[in-house]
Amino acid sequence: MKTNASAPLARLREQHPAPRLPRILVHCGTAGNAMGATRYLEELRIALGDRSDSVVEAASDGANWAAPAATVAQGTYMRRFERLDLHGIDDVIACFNGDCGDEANYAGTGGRGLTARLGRNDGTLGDVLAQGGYSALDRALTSTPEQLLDAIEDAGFTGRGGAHFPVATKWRLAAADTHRPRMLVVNAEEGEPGVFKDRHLLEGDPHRLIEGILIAHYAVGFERAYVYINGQARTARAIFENALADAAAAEIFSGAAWNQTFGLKIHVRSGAGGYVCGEESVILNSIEGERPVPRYKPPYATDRGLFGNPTIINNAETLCAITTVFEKPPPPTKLVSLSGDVPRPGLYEIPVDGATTWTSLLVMAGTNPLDVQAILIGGPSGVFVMAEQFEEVLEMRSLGAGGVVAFGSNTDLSQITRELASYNMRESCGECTPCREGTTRMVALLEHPAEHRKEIANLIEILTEGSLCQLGGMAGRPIQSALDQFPTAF
Amino acid sequence: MMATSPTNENSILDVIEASVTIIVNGREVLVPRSAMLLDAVLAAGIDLPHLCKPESRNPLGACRTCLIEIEGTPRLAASCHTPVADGMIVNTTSERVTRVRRGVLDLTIGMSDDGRGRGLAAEHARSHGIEMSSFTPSPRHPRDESNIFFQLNMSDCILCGRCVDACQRTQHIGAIGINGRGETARIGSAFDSLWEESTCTSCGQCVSQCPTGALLPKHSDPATASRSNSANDDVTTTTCPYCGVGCGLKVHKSNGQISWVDGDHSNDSSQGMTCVKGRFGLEFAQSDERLTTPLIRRNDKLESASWDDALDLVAHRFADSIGSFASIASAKATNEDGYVLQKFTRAVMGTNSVDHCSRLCHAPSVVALMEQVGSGATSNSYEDYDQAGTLLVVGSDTGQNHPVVASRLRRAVQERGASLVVVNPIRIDLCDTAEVHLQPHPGTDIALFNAMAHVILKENLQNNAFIDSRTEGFDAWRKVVEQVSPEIAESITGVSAKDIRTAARLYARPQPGQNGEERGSCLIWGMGVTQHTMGSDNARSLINLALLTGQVGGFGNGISPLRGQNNVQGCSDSGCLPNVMPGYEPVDDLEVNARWSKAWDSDLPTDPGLQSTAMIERMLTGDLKAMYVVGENPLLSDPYLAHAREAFERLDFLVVQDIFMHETAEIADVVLPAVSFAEKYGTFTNSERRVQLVRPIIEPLGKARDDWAITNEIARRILQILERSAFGFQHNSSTEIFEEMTKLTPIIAGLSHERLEQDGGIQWPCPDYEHPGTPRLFENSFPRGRGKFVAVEQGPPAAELPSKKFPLTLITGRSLYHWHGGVITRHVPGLLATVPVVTVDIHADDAKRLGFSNGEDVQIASRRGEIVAEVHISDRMQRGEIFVPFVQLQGVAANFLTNDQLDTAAGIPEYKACAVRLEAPGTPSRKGRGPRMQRKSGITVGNRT
Repeated sequence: MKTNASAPLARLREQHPAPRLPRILVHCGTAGNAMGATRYLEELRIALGDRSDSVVEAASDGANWAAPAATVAQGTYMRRFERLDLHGIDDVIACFNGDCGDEANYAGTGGRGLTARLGRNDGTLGDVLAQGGYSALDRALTSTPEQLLDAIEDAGFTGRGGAHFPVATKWRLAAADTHRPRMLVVNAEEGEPGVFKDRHLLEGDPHRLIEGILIAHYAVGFERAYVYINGQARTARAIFENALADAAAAEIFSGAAWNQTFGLKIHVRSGAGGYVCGEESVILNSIEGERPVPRYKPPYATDRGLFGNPTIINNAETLCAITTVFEKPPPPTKLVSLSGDVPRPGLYEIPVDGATTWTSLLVMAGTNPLDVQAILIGGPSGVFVMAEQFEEVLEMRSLGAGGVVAFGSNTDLSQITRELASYNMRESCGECTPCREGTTRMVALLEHPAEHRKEIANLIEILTEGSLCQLGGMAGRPIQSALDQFPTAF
Repeated sequence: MMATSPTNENSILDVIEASVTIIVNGREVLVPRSAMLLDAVLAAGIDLPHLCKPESRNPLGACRTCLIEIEGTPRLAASCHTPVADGMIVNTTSERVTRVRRGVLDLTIGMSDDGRGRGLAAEHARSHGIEMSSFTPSPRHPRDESNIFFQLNMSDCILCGRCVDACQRTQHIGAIGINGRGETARIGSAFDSLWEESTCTSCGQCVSQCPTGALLPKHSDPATASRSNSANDDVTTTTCPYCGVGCGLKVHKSNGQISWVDGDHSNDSSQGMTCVKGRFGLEFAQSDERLTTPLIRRNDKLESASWDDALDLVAHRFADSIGSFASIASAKATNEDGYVLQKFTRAVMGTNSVDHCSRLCHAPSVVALMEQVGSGATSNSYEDYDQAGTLLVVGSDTGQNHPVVASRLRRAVQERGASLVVVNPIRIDLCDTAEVHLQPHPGTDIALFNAMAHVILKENLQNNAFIDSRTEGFDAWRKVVEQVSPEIAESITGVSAKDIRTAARLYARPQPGQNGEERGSCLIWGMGVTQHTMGSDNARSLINLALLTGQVGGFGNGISPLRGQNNVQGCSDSGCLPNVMPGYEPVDDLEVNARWSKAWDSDLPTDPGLQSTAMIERMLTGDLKAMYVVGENPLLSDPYLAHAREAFERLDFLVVQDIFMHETAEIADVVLPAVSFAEKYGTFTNSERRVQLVRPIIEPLGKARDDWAITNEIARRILQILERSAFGFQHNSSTEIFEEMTKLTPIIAGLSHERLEQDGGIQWPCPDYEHPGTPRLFENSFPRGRGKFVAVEQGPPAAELPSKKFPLTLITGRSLYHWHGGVITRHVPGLLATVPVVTVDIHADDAKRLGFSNGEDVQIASRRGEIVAEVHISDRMQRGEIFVPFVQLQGVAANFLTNDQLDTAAGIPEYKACAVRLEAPGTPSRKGRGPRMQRKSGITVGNRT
């Protein structure tokens, strides 16, 4: 997607030329490798002989159900070949040689949204630039920071971590405080079970996050950025750090490519382990080397955050999404990590446009909604949505961080509820009494829920009203939801 | 210097400006804008539970028992960490908030082994109608009783985190934390080791914070104990009797016994902290071994006597000794006690020969400071350590000697990003927090500091404006330090030139603050600087650094010799020095003499008296025949004890006045029982010149009397014998004495007991009643006019250097768990149990080479004596150097080994370096111990140029 590239961007593209086509992208990464994708990387290279350098490693494109998979890129045409373990590689080679059959292009080039390049690039800067990388930053640099903030505000961008706070409003809070060094913390912890979007973004399109960080930096003026990546997402961290090194070498990160001095220092930190590490203030403690427990608010991070400085904490997805701000119209999309009893689990970028329903999501995932008795939105802090509610229109707010688990008709939902309570008990940091003691007591009470209806209700209230942070504050939510939605299951 | 006092109208407006009104349960409450809702609720007289909120510290927000309802806010709020806002309407009693709070308390007491909870947790639960938790009790892990002073019982713990906050963020020790998470969370030390094996210093700050009694002093009754809730105790606020930090103590007494000590949060010097001695070390005051009756030597035995007999005997013998008399004052006693003693010595005995232990600690600092700036006191305050960018700590094992100051230094580093530079031949605890540790060989300080000055000049980091306007002697001094490159210093000190440069840069260019503001450098020093034959020169070389960089008299900078005893500053201020009257007025100044002679109605001597170390020599020559030793034990604290004992034994008449029997008292002719700090009213002056009240906690033991009262009575009886008027010795109370002192001493003219009762401690100079006291001296000028650079050069590192026969260098100092020679701390069972024997710290290589292993006994021999100590292999030491604390335990004391060579200007002995060897215990000493080491008068050490 080459749109009105400025001279500096054009120069970058010259220095980092696009890869030669056709070529075959084998979707490896964490999701692909789990299904043995690297084997096909080798097989395809052997099969192509002296053209083996046209077989390149790419990350997952989000279609986890399709792994091991490969995508053939032919000019403006792309086609994904799924389940190579079942279908072999012959069709892939045929397509590479020009015979792709008559199936439609599944995504095509020049896509929109934040997954446009996801897993469909080989990680080189040339490939990323050719697919529109850094054009949003290029565009942002032609406006003033204030105009940029206005554009983000006009586009109605909200945070994608679950709270959906307006991005421009948050950024302005820090931008105003020019006396102290300002900090950006990128939350890529995603400790919530069933959420895997940040890992995909970091593995499949790390330059989009870098671009988002630089756009934020241009708008606010940070001294430092900390990217806090889930401690187990080692592949994601390694790929992201490689991309950072490439962006630095190309003088993108310093701003020199645009004859500017961004002056941003960036640090990558691995998460300290635990669901609670995704909580904003826990991240701050963790980065500072303190015990990973929450801080009370106020003071808010925008006032006294990391090392006592004004700090913006944005979800990785939020910063990736910011790169789509100049798309007309900016797509109101949300990444959904869909898992459970569906034929096509994986990462979906769905439009939150007033038309999408849970049903459409389930259909997308290849299931008959009638086979699903309930879905859980938001994991251990979430709520159950029952079959009769599947026609509800999706809103950003109802999606949380985008974790969706579908339960088929054979699933014992009461057991799921107990497992969620038990998860919250295990993951409680132990700092405050309601959460530490309450989640433990809740597990015991759920052994015999029918006899303890009143106690459970009381405990939910104590957790909700009394806890220090939202792990405890929302630990009662799935239980309340279960009691509301399927009381007879207990 | 003086703050202009605001008019009433202004102050009322200020209050209104700084306040907000909120409505609590329908009542309007006016609170400071910066307050939290909990403050407002408590101010309204409402008893809202709060278990985890530490006094005078930021809230922790962990216990969630202070929940309240705020109108217009959907969720309940923890009031401890929710700021007030004008017009807020809050409710603490609605059905909803009471229900949830009761639920939280129910969960809280459910953590105890019987479901009833302990201490404040149980109390608050009861106030919410819960006797017993509705949950099955789920107590946590076992007890840890390994600490000598207190124990941890996890089944009484509610994990509020106050103990951890106390350890990590108040005292900055970091011995304990919360281990594990969720339901397995527990209080513990690193790797779940026993408390005793952690870095804990037993300061007891954690115990003072525990709301339930899970942490409990060992002698307490767990049924009633909850340290932060000992409301029924009789509590006395007083000042700590140990080191010179001057911590404020709140001493609890139950059933007549001192039962517990809390730090006084309103005390600006200690801010609510204490160390192990202040917290657990006051038992001595009620020891059975206290002296409770006068003793007179009869038939070579000390026998009980009446006060009348004892005082008469003393009076007659002293009256006969006029002209050959000297006294030693106590830096442990009050200003009032010291004042009366020096007045007695001068006005009655007609001599200026009164001295005290500062001769053995900071005399060189005073000599150098008087010469270079014109005042011997510390220039700035502890609060300047809090604000400094660099803290240069020289020859001070602050963690052992001034633990609460060490806590403030660690806080400055950990919370405010200050750079700590430690200069010490020993790797002291504070090095854990330091940016640089310079580890010079003992006695090579001058080379080191001259080289630092060299670097500062070479790199043009000096403060030219300050040098031009505030100092003199710069050019001559500059020529000397220009000769001492860091490389030359490296070859002398063993400190790398790189580290010397780093330290010099940090001192001259301190780190800016967190908001980029400019900060200063504090220079802090201890006995490692002074207790050398070149002690005065060491101090001069340090003061030169402060003058070079202008790091004195301002906010966040300054020069501070840390005072070793509770009232060593005050003892000097009160005139217990042979060359000056109270307030540092020279005895040989005729105008001064005339003024004091008139005030005391006597002819005062103008010849300076004997320094305490010179007294020893005069005893041997027979010029000094009678001594009055108050609250001191020279036969433990003097160097080369065998020699000192020989001298004291030559006296015709020795009177010792103290609270315990000790080495000196044992050979006295009369022993007079004095009261301890716990039984007296008066003032101590701490290391930052803060004059603070000491208040009686218990009744005097037996027949013991106030030191001033005893001295006063001796004076009256002598004056009667001499048929002189007893006009000057009509003292009836310490308050009267203090009035006289303040009237005659301009630097404290604005003080009175009444004012101190009202305002708390005040730092002198305080010239009048309106004056707020002076945190910083020398802001605009020095008492001598310009600060004077004095060039000093490195000489031999010690009077006695290691030799083939005595190959090791012995360094002496203090131990955290004992105080000074141990006369007091040996009477505190817990402290004695912690450190029961004298140890010798030694590098592993030396121990291996000499064939000694850890815990084994070893004999240490110098040219003057031998002692046996327990080997303690330690990475604190460098090769070739050993450390022995100078406390006497089981008859063993390091000062049998030390050298009595003196610094000529200050008269201080060289405690910090003498030559020793290690040998198997029982190795016979040299025959008859040989002749006393020849004293060389012209020895050239640290020559001034």
